[in-house]
Amino acid sequence: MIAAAFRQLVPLGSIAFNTYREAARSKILYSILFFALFLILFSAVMGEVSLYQNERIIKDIGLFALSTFGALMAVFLGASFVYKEIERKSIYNIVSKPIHRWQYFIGKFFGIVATLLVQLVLMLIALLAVLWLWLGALPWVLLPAFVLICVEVCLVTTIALFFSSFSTPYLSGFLTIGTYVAGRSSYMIQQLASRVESEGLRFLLDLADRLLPALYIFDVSTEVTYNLPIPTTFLLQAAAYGLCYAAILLFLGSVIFSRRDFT
Amino acid sequence: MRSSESTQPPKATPPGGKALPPRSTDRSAIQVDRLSKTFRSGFLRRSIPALTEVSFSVPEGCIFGLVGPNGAGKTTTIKILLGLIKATSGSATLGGQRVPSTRSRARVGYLPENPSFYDHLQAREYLAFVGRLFGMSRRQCASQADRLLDYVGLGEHAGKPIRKFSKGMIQRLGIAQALVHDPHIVILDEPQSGLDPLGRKEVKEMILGLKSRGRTVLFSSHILPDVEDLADEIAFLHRGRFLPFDSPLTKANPKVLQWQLEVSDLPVPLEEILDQPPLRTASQEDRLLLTFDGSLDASTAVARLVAAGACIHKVISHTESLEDLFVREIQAEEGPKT
Repeated sequence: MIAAAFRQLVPLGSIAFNTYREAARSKILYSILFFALFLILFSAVMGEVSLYQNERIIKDIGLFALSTFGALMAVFLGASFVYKEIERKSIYNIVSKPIHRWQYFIGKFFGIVATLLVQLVLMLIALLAVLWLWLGALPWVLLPAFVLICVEVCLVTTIALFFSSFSTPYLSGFLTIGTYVAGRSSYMIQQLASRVESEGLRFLLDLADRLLPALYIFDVSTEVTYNLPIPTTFLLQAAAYGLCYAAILLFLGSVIFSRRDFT
Repeated sequence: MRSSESTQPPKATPPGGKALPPRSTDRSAIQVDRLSKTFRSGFLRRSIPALTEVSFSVPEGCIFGLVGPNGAGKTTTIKILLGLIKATSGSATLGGQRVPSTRSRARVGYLPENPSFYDHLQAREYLAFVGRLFGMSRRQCASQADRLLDYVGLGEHAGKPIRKFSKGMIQRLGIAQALVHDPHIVILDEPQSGLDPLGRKEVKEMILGLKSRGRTVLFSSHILPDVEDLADEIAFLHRGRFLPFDSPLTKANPKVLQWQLEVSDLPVPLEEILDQPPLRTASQEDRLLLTFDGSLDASTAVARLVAAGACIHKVISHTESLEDLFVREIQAEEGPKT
């Protein structure tokens, strides 16, 4: 039983490792990482010119860089990696091997997520280094925020992969960015739904609110900036919500991908 | 039209693996039964039939050539066997395992048409990656990758990124990756595409080498003389159907168009020995070159001539080449051009 399960994981792990290797050799990814690191360093300069706001500015800009550039990389990798293989036909030689299509799809997911986590860790180290050098302190309150950013980036990756299982990279990139923006501000949809009078419109807004990922819950920059406590229960619930949402999308994407013809 | 036919003995055998027991002709390595595929295209989901009730069987240890013009359905058939496309109806098995399934693909090596591999990897890394997908250990992958790269002539380029490979090198790498797990069945889609004459010759030798070790090879090709040289059995596909003759065609019994006998010392006039008159008679010094229609029973004719005291110097059969047959069948299918 365990041996059989392990046998299923070997090709999945190989695909994940290969995806990581491909992403790690991508120049575009390094460009995005460079901009993120530059922004984090620039936050120190911004902190210097602000009055008694050094720590707040650095944390604020640093978390913004982690979250936004992390999501941007997730969209880029998630939307392009599977489609690129279909377009170049390199996928023919992979899915014709004795592997299940879901192993390929989920292997891609893990490879992309591993790449993103490495990038996020590098950004976090840069942010902590800037805070240490400028303020002489390490604000560990950043860590829960970092965990939530990781979960959010993971979720954005599955959204991009889900859309790329049936559409082109441009369309899936556009749809993922749209979902990201809508998910980040979906609390406004809730508020709007409670105010509209039309039953039909309220139903549609309610539906959108339920379907869209509530990405705003992963943004705890206010708590971090003002050194407010982040309850562990909230942290666990938010992480569980994000991972469950990601698992459902990954399952649906695998099903759609498994039904595709590679003509 | 061709005068004679010869197959060269295998000069190269792939590394690793063992020779399989002698083939049993009653067992099929590949079995395709009434396979059909209809694609849907456009907003109105217009039907485009790509394959219509295709059936064939490839015995173990046989080299089977799939021939047909562009769009005939060769690649569609192969892709269905490999699980890249789902058949609309019909069924198929590979090594007795139902298609599509991971078990059916486990013993198959596949070279896609115009293969494309991961640009960011080196040739050795790619072969090791493919080996892992077949469940091979890292050590097995590494040793097999080096051996196969030497075998296909890429040993010096093992550490080179694939993006720097020429088309011919990509094709060689494609062949290497198809053999990485020492498959029992090898499916090659246009294996000689993009290769120079030397490369084509090497591929031919490699295919014959696989056969000599009991492997079953199914390949598609546009290069008809090569198919003719290599394949034990040949099937013509045209517009998604097998052409309506004894299909698949076996090379064991090619159609003879003409017979030529070179004889001397005829004791009596030819009409007294043979019932069938020659189409042409030509004299060459003391010999006669007799040309007969393909319907001649050559063995009986030779026996009668020898019994009458004539001396037979040469018996030449002019058989229909694959190209002749291919053109004739397609023209018959499409009807006369106006």
